[in-house]
Amino acid sequence: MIRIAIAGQPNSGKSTLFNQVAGYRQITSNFPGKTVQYVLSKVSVAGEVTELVDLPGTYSLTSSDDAELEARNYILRGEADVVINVIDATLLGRSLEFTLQLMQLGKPFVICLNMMDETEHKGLKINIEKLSRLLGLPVVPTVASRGKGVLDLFVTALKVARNPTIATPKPPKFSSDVEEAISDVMEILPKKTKHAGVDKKLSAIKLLEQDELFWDKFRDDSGFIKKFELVKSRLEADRGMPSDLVISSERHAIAMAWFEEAVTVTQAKIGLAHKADEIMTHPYLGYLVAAAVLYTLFQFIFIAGSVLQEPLMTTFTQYIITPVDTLLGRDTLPGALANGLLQGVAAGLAVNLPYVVPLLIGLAVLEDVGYLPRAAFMLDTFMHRVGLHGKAIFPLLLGYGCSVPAIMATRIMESRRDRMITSTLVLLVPCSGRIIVILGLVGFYIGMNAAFAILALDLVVIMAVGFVLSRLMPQVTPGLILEIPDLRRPIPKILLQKTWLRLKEFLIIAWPILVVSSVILSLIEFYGISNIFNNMLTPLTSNLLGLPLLTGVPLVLSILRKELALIMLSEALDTWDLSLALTHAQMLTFAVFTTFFIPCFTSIGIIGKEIGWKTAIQSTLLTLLLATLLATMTRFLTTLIPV
Amino acid sequence: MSVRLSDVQTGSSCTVLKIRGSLRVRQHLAKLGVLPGIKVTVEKEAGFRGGLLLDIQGKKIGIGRTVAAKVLVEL
Repeated sequence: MIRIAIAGQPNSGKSTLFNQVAGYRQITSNFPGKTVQYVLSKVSVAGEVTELVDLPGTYSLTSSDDAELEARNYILRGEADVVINVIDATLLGRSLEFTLQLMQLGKPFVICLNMMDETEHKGLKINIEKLSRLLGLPVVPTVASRGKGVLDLFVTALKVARNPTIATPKPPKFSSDVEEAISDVMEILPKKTKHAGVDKKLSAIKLLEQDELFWDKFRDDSGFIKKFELVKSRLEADRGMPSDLVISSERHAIAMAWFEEAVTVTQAKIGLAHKADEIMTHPYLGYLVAAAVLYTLFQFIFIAGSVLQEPLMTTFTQYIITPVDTLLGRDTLPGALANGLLQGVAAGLAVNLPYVVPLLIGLAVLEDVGYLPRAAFMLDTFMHRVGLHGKAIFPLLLGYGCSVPAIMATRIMESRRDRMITSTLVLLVPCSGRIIVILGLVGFYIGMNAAFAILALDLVVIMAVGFVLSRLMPQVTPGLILEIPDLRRPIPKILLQKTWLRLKEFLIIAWPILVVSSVILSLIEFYGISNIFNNMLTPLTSNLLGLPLLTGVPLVLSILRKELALIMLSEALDTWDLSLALTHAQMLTFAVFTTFFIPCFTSIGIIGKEIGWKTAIQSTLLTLLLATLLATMTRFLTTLIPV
Repeated sequence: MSVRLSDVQTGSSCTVLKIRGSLRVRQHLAKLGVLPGIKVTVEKEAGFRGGLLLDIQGKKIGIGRTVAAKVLVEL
């Protein structure tokens, strides 16, 4: 079966192309042993079943990050019969630099000149035949978002796959001094330089580019390194810049030369999108826009959520839970199990889904419109002070609703390190379950000021932890460097697809955990083993925190169902008036602990799946430490300051 | 006369001379098109001493202030 790989820079419409063709039948996998992902789908194209692989979008094919490395190696290994290089036609010059790097890999490929519709708006006229001749490759114009030219593209790709020689180009030569340096390096390369099918010339170029992976292979060969340094320093002295910049500049020059030959630039038309952009990135109005967008997103999520929550819960309880309870009886083991199971299912359906679905839709819209990079750019100053990336604002704010979708939202950040730190911070953001405890316990019995004090403390802790974590994990890039793509009209079909695919992931991970947690809770109730837990937790509850023993279960086991924390507390203390069982000091201590300890099992599960299990464990321990520390401090503070 | 990109006035164009900083920074910037000899227009500045929005041959790029300070340009 013919395999086609799709490669290209981010925002080139690569994934739109893939999604148009692959539809819902796609599988996301990881490259072996890595966190970098690719997407696979079997597709019937022009009557032939092929395998389509969407490689991660990367700006270049060096080794500076895992995604580029994996994409490059995939192509070098020859795992695909043909590669489709998707190019944003409105950024031809920049895109061709990527194409040049692809040419150097020596594998057959086809150019997909995408977003042709936008070239009209920008006043760019591209001579496709000329471009094709210059590159020595087939060039197919497309508008992937509308499906135009897509069939043509794949027919051409299949032709190339069957007859690779028609599209395996010879990369053009660099300037003579650079070519000289390259052949000098080739001469001094140790005899058997063939790594993963890579030929000498490619190795030489990559070494001059200071590509890490290639450097690793020669690290121990001091003889070679000495000779190489001579060649390198000569080139650098001639050109007055580091050798990696020399190569980049050369590529740039070739790409620009091609651009000038094949493209005529005329007057661009200024449209609505341009005006909208002006406001979005306005140094002051832009913040109002960001606030408005976030507010709207929240309103959308909470309104949709609350409207659906009640009826769903009531219907499910009435038609499924109650009948089963009556049938099996709550006092039997099967009854308890069934109840726990159904409660978990109900919670996923009626409590989580109504919020998660609008969130995913909202996020998809913001993403596809192109607003996210603009918001990240605007908010970066503030986030930067806490050592975070501008985009982190979205997951953090979403955490106020529920940590689970918030952690999923960290996907909008590309850097793994940013995702790790942000997810950990999300765990500290008070989700609705915790807000219920803060308001319902402290706010209700002590006063709103006390409740706000806890929320303020929380904010301070988040910033402090963010600061510390970002110092502990130094950034790969010393600041924001972000491409801001054009504003685009989102395509409904693609929005729905994205939402569904992400929802599927949530359902597969989060829901089962919720159900299991619910069953566990049910069993604990059934077997009456709360006492055992309470006794185990004495060092924490009684000794450290000064809380009644009975609070053990609600304090810790509420991680199974955080929104039930107050209910569990009332049940444990056997009263609806908690002031009868707890002093104000104890209420504060309980609330502070709840605020900082992990929100729920599900959130840890999501971190494990999305980021990694090491992070999941570390963040759990961190929150436990913080919760215990801060709650203990609260206890002792309240002996000094009367509440 | 070389100036730091972060000191360039909004609306002006300049040419990149040199990029200070580690290999990683250079590579990252190079990937997005910030190379010596390239013409860059500073379109906007984010408020509160924020980052810069650059136009590099039609492509818009947002960079933080610290990064911009590492890019030396000629007006």
